[in-house]
Amino acid sequence: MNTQRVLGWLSLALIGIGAVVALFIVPADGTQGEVQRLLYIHVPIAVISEIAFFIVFLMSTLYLVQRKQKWDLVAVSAVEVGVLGTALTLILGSLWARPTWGIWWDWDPRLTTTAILLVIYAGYLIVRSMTDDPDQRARWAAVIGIIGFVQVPIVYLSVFWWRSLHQPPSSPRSMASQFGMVLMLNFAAWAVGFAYLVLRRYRLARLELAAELTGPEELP
Amino acid sequence: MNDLNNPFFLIAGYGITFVAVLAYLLRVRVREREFRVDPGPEG
Repeated sequence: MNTQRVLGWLSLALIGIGAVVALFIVPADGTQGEVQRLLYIHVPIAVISEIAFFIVFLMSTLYLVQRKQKWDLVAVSAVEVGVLGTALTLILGSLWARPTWGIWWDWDPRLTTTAILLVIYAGYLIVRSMTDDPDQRARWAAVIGIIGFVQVPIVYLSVFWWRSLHQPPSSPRSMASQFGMVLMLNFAAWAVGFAYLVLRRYRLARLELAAELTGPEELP
Repeated sequence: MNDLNNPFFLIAGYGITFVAVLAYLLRVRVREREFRVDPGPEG
């Protein structure tokens, strides 16, 4: 069995176990009730998406230094998965906010900076589609991948800079140990899951580039 | 029912997350299959 297959099955098993524990085994929060169970996936997916954007920053820097296409392909794979994760973070946050805060959305600094983060990396993907030249595409994307990363620490620090509606970051240290364990379990599960998605997307990106370089007449 | 314990929010949150991730994975797999070269009779 190859690494990718192992990672796929491991992701499925861990995410499944994480969801069962979060939904059915750990008790509901005394204050926030059942809806607090959304945070067991909201927080890990948010953090892992930011890690994905850090990988984009690293790969973009490596591309500009070495001009090797493989770094660009890893970067675009991580961006796609990061964009998916950031969109899910906002949706999950909104579903948690409605019963807790009484509103679906607020222009709170954490929410607003996260929405801007999503727009930046969606823009990264749009810019890539504007040219057919692989080198030019990789160069433009790398610049956005590096400059865009500035937004990640802004998102993280927004809850400290502007004390507003969104609470400070949730972590195993900020909650009772049984809740912290479930959070860590789900973090590990989604980390493996997102690594699997990036790996799959990278494999596809290599095939796409190979087809692009050989020309349309060579395509199946 | 208190909204904090309304199952709609949990079902919607976990449901959307799993469907979105599976849909993305499916899209990648379908695209990958499109690139699989048919070796033909000589292959």
